[in-house]
Amino acid sequence: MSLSNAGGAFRLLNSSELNNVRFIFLSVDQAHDKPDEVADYATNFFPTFVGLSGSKEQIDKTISLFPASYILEENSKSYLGYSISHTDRVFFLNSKGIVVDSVSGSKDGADAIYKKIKENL
Amino acid sequence: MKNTIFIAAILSFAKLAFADCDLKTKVEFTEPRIFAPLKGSNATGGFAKIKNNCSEELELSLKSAEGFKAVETHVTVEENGRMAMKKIDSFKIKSGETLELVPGGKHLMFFDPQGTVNEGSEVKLVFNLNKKELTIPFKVVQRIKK
Repeated sequence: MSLSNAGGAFRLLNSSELNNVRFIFLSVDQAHDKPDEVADYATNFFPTFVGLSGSKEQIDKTISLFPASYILEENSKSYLGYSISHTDRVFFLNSKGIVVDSVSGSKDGADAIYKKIKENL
Repeated sequence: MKNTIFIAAILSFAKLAFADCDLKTKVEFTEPRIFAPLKGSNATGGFAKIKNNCSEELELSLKSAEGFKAVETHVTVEENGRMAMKKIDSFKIKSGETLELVPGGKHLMFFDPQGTVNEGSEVKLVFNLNKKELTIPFKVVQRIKK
C-alpha cells in the first residue's frame, strides 16, 4: 500500500519537483527479499524509486534511526512460515537527513504524501 | 438408541438444507480479480466482493489457484502501531451479507507463480464453501495505474 500510494504521489509531481525528491523503500524481510529483488520491486511503482534490503544487522541499524520497529512472528501454518508486523509510516527527511514529518503509508493515501512532499520541497 | 436416531435425523436434515443452496447461483462474485505479479516479488493479491445468498452462513477457504504454488486467505491487522498481513484459515459470510476483499483489508494471497501470469488472463480459484467446492475464474489485472 505504501509503495502504491507513494507512486501515485510521485506521478503528480512535475519534472522540477521530481529532481528534488527521492523515495527509498526498505524491506525488513531479509530472509525473503534479496536486495536486487527489492530494487526491482520498488521501480514497479515509480522508475526512480530505490528499494533496499540487507543483512539483519544493516536493517536493524537503519530502522533504529527512525521512530519505527518491526517484529517477525512465526506461523507454521502459513506458506512463508512467518509474518512480519512493521511500522506503517512514510517518513520525510530534509536535505540534512533529519526526519521532519511522516504520514501513514496505507491509510493517508497518495494525496497526503504528495501534500507533504510539496510542503517540504 | 432413540437418541442416536434422533441426532442422525437432525444431521441429515442439516445436510439436506445446505444441499438446497446452489453455490453457483447463490454465491455472487463481483469483480473477481488478481493483481498481475510484479517483478521482484513472488507474491500477489486477489480481491472481489462475495455475496452469500444462501439461507445459512458460509465458511469460505481456498483450496488452490491454478498456476500458483500456494494461496491463502489473509487479513490486515494493526497491533501497537504496526501493520501486518496474517494468514487465517477461512472467512465467514453470514446469510445475505457480502464479504469485501480489498487491498489493505481482508484479501487473498498468491505465492510463487509457476509460469507467467499475464494481464488479461484468468486464474481459476477453487474455493471450499461449507466443505463444497466452487471454482471461480479471477481476471488478472494491472496493479499499478500508470
